[in-house]
Amino acid sequence: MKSIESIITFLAYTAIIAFAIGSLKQINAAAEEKLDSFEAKTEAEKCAGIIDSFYSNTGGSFEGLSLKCHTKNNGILSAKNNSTANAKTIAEHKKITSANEKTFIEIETTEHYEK
Amino acid sequence: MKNKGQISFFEAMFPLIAVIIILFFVLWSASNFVTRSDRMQKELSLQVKAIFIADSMTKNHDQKNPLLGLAYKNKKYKRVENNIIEPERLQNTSESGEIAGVKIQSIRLKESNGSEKIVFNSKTASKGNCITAERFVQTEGAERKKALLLVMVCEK
Repeated sequence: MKSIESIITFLAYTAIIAFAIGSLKQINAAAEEKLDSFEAKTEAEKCAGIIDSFYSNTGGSFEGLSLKCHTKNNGILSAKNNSTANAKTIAEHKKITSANEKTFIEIETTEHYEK
Repeated sequence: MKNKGQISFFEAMFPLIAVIIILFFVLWSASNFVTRSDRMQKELSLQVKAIFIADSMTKNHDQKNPLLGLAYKNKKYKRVENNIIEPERLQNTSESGEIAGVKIQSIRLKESNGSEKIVFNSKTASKGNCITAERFVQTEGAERKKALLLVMVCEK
């Protein structure tokens, strides 16, 4: 009886520990995904901020920044691993394209100077 | 306990249950932290949007949408003058105040004599959080006056 009790105890604790390890792995994966989503959102908001500040300062085109986002469906989209996030901007007519780690921005705004 | 040096399964369960309860509270606290971070990110995004809306209002001149272009255009010098605004252009605007996923709830001007004037008020009240962006401007009119522009922006 003592050996049976010992075996049952051992099996019960093994099951509990296995369940705990499995749960912690799932929690870790969910936390990683959440962190990626958070970083993607931060990057999208940063891009939106740059575009909005450009909109208020005569707009036009600019090259040389290194942004991790692009325009999609009139909004800004940023991705990190499998997570994506979007942000909206004040500027309606905008374009962000990236090539060779350099970003090209083009924003249309109202004229500040008359010719 | 019939034999020395051997504890039963049920006696060992109690500390294990205590450890599981402590782990639960740790994870629950971590989950609360994540929810708060989400909330803080939304509030920060609203603050940034409010600042840029106020920035656009005071630096752009837009006849079609004065909420984003209230700056005065100097016809003599053929240029828009930053931080000098024409609040009367908001009087007849039909704009709803919805811009870039947020809503301009109200725009007020506070003068140095303490008086406050509402120059724009949205027709519907917002149910979400609101933030007010403030910046100093001058109002164009018979006489240029300094005023504090208060732009209240709310979640839609």
